[in-house]
Amino acid sequence: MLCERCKKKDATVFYEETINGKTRSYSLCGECAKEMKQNGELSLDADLGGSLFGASPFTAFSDNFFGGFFGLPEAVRTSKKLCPLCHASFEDFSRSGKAGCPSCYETFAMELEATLRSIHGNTRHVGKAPAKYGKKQDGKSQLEQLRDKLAQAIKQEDFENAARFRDEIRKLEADA
Amino acid sequence: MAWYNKKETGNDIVLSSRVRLARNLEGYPFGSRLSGEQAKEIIDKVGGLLEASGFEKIDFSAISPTEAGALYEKHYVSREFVGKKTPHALMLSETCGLAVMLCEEDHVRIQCLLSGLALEEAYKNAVAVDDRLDGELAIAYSDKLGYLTHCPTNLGTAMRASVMMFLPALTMAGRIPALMNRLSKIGLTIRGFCGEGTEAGGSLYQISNQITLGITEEQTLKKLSDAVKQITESENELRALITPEKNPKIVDRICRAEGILRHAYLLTSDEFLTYYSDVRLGIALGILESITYKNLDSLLFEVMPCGLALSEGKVNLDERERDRIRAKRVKDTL
Repeated sequence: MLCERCKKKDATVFYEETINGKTRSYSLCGECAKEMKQNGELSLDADLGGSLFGASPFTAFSDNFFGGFFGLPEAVRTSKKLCPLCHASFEDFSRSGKAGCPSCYETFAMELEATLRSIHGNTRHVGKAPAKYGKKQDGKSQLEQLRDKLAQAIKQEDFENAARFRDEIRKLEADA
Repeated sequence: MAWYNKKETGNDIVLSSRVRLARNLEGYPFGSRLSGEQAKEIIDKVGGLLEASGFEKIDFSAISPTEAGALYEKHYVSREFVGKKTPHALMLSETCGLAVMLCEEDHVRIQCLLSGLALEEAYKNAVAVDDRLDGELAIAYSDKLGYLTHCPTNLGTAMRASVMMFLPALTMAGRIPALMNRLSKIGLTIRGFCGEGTEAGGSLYQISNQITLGITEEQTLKKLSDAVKQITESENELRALITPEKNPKIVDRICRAEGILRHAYLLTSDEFLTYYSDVRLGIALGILESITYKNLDSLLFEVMPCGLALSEGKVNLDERERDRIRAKRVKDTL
């Protein structure tokens, strides 16, 4: 789908706003969305990409998420690595906003770190895993796990370990 | 029973629940880098396994645009999937609400759609398919990033869970933008349900998770169902404030909508969605007693353009003819 404003580039930002009960949908390319936000034509109340409403529940991923390719640090932008499986470069990845193949994630792990944090607020998976990768992770943070252990130790009157867990919790909380 | 043949669940606010899992096969590229030959290989591998488990295979190169459109109207496939030029197929097991898209954006997208609020059951059904594939195929996964997907926004669990809700009172009160804001802060999103055009219609909304990395499937489902419960409460609180004495205009609108749906000779799908919403609210408020949710909701999918043409045994219908048949179908059902 082409951007409804410039009618040249592909629309990668889909936004819907409701004002006085009237809903208006926009399908824009990254640059037009940015310009319209700067001009105040769009009442976007979040950073582009943060809470835009995708055309499909699997939201379109656009160059906005990278903050624009040219907004990236030079070391990342000039990365000359190529994915060994699909031969995509990091520039290919950031321009399309999509990986060329599963191996791209390993190849460009360093370059993607900051972007993934800005999309998900996290860079480590928790949850289901294929059987060959073993037991699924329960998603509890280290702190939550320690609190569970502390409660268990107190229940069993194992005060020596309870004191150890308590100290570890204090240390983690102080570091946070 | 297909998901759109809604049971009477007593919950008139949540229409349906959906869980989607994206999966990819190791060693194959994504998107435009995937050749037609490779796409066929994936369809044969995954399709073969699912056919052996009782799924029906629908090859999109062998069906008409109207048939493909009807599958989109039933929410079994995405709009992008319908328009794809390279080989792609749908594996369908309608009784379990399962639809698996092969070679969409990701190699495999497992989707389970159920009526009412049934997120856990939908997740369970989708996982059963995932486990079946996992036993036989090498799924692209990394310990750090989870399931590897074409788009980095889906990394991690690669799961989208969504709930379709009917929120006329919140819409009338102008509360949807504030709700959008609140939900985005907790990693959820709300968008309008699209009818024939792209405008939100019928006070129908889809609420779904936005974040997939660093949160488990169970945490996501809980967060979503907690939000759905809260939104349901707010909607009910606002509905309780609507009375014939205080809001004669709303009651008038509901009665007029019923009149139009029962007696119109021509009806566009946008018009249908507008009056659908008013009539549905009329049932909820006890103003309209002779129409059931089941009858009204069944129309939501029956009167869409492609579904309508197919049920008339035609490849295509001109607009006027379509509006006339739609009006008749609505009148007969109500």
